[in-house]
Amino acid sequence: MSRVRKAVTFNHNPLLQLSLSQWRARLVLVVLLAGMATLLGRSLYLQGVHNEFLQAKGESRYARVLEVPATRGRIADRNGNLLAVSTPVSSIWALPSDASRLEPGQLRQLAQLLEMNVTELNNRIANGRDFVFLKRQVSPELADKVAKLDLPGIYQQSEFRRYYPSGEVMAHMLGFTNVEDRGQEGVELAFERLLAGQPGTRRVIKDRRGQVVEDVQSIRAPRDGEDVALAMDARIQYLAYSALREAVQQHHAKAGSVVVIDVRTGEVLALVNAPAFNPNNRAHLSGEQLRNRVFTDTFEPGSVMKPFIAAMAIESGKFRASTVIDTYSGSFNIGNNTIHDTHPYRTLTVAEIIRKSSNIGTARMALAFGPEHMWALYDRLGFGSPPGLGFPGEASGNLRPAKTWKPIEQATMSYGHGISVSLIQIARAYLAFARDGDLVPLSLTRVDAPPVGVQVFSPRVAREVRQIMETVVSPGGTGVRAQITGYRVAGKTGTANKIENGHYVNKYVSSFVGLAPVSDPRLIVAVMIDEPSADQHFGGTVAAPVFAQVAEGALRALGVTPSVPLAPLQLTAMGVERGLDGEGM
Amino acid sequence: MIRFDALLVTLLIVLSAACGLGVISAQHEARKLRSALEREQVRAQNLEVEWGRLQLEQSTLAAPRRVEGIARKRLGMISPDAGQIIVLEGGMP
Repeated sequence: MSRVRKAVTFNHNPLLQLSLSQWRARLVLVVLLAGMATLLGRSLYLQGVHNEFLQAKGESRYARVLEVPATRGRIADRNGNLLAVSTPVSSIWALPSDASRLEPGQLRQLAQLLEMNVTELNNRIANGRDFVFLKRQVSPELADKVAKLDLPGIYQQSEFRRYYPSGEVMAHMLGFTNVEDRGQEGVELAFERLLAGQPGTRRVIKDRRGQVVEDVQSIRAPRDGEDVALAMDARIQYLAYSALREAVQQHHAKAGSVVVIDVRTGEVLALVNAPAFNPNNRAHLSGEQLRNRVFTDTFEPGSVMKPFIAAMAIESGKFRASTVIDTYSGSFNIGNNTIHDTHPYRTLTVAEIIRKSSNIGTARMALAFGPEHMWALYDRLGFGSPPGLGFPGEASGNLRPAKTWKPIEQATMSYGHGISVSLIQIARAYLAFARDGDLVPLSLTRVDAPPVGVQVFSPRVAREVRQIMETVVSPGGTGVRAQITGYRVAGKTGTANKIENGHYVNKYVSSFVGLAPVSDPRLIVAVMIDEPSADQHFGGTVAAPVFAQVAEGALRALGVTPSVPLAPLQLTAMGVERGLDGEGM
Repeated sequence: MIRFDALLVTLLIVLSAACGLGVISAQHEARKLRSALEREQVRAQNLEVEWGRLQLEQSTLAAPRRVEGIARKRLGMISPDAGQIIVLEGGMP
C-alpha cells in the first residue's frame, strides 16, 4: 500500500520533477528588456537626435512657405514724372487634367471672360501638358471675376506688368521689359540690376481657414527694385519727339533722331528716334521701329566735323580765324583724286570755310597736319570708341588707325566722309565747344557734382570756333533756319551722301548740331534725318528747323533768360541758303 | 502637517492651471493680432498698388501731348509769336 501510495504520489511526478533551467527565464527577461530598450532608444532617437524629419512632417501639416513678391523699381524723369511703373496683374492658368472636366457651359463663361473663343480655349486645355497658361497679364478686376466662377483646374498667379504712360515719346529711351518683367531694351536693360527686385520668402503657420496665424521666420526678405531718376526732362523729350516726327513726315524721311544734352553737366535731357513704337502694345514690332538709332546707327557725319578741324588748326597757331586759304575755285587735286565744292570760291578765310562749308578749305587745313595729329584729335573727341553710357548696343563707329590713312582719305575725313560716328558721339564731341574746350562724359542719370572732363581745346579756341559757328546761322551761312527768337545760337549743318555697297548713292543724311545760347551755352541739340526724300535734303533746310524748334522750346522750358531782344526773325537769306550748303563728293 | 502639504499641492495645481490658461489666452491673442497685422499688411499692399495706379493715371493725364491737345483745341491757346513776348527785367528766375 505504502509502495503503491508512494508510487502514485503526485508530488513526485517525474515530469514535474524535470526542473526548467534557469537561463530560459532569464533569456525571456533579457529579450523583453532589450525590446523595451530598443523602443526607448528609438523614441529617444526620434525625439532628441533625429528629430528634423518628423518635425518637418508635422510642420507640413500647417506651415507654408509663402513667396513675397518684390516690385520692380519705377523710372522717373528729372522732375519726378513717372515714366515706367509696374502694377500687379494676374495670369490665368489651367491644370489640363482637372480642367478637362469642365462643362461646356462653364467653358463658355470662361471663354467669354477671357475674350477667347471656346475652340481655342479647348485646344489649350486639351494639349496634354500639365500646366498651360490660358491668358497672361489680365487686369485684377477680370481675375477676380474668373476666381468667382470657382472652376476646377483653373488657377491664377499674380505677376507684374510694366506700363509706360508716355508711350512712344519715350519708347527708345526707356526700352521695355518682357513678360517676366525683366529689362529687354533701353534704360530697362541698362539699369536692370538696380531696377529688378528680389522676391523674398517667409514661412508661416496657417489655420484651417487658410489665414496666417503665426510668422515663423522670414527666410529671405523681399528687396524691392530701386527707383531710377533719369536726367531726362519729359517736356524737352516731348518737344523733341513732336518736332522730329513732324520733320520726318514732312520730308518723307526714312528715319531721324534728336539728342539734347545739358552743357553744364553732360546729362542727356532728351533722346528720341523716329519711327518709334508704343511700348504698351508691342504686338507688331519691326526692327526699324525698335532700333535706338542715336546709339546703334553710325553714319558718315559730313560737314558737322568741320568745326573740329578748324579748332585744331587755330589751336596749333598755324592758322587764325582770319587766315586766308586758297580754295582753288571749287576743284582741288590730291594725287589722282579731285575734291569739289558745290559753290566755287577762289579764297576763303578759316571762318568763311566753316560758314560756307567748304570741303576744299577744310581739307587744306587738315593736310597741314600729319594723320597722327588728326587721329589723336578724333580719338580725344571720342570717335571710334563706344560712348560708355551702358546703353545696350552702343556703336563705337569707325575710325581707322592713322597709319592706314592716305592723303585723300585724310582730306575726306576732315569733312566727315570715310569716318562713321553715331549721333550721340557727335553730340558729345560738341560739348568741347560749348564747355570752353572741356569734354565731359555723358550721363543718363542726374549729375549733382560737377563732372570731370578732359581739356580738348583751349578755352580761347573753343570760344572762337563758337563765334565762327554763330556765323553759320546768320544770313549768308548754311544754317539760317536754325535761328531762334531770343537767343543766340551756333551750330553746323551737315549733308552727307550715303554709301550703299561701297558706292556713294543719291541718298543723304542731313544733320545739324548746335548749341545755345552762344554767350553761355546751356544746351547742345543734335539732329539727324535719314534719307529725306521730299526734294530737299540739305542739313540747313531739313535738320536746322528741327534744331530751332527743339532748342527754343527747351531753353524756355529750362527758364534760360533770353539774351537778345525778342524781335521777329529776319530770315531774308532763306533762298540763298540752300545753294550755299556746299557738300557732296 | 498633512493639511499643509495638501494645501500647497492644491495651490500649485491651481496656479499651473491658471498659467496654462494664461498661455492659451496669450497665444490666442497673439494669433488674433497676427492675423490683424496680416490683414493690415495686405491692405497696405493694396493701397500701395492703388497709389501706383493713381500715379500712372496722373502721368497719363499730365502727358505733354494731352495737355498740348487740350490747350490748343479746347482752350484755343497758341504759342506766342516772337513779337508777342515781353521779357521783364529781373522777372525771370
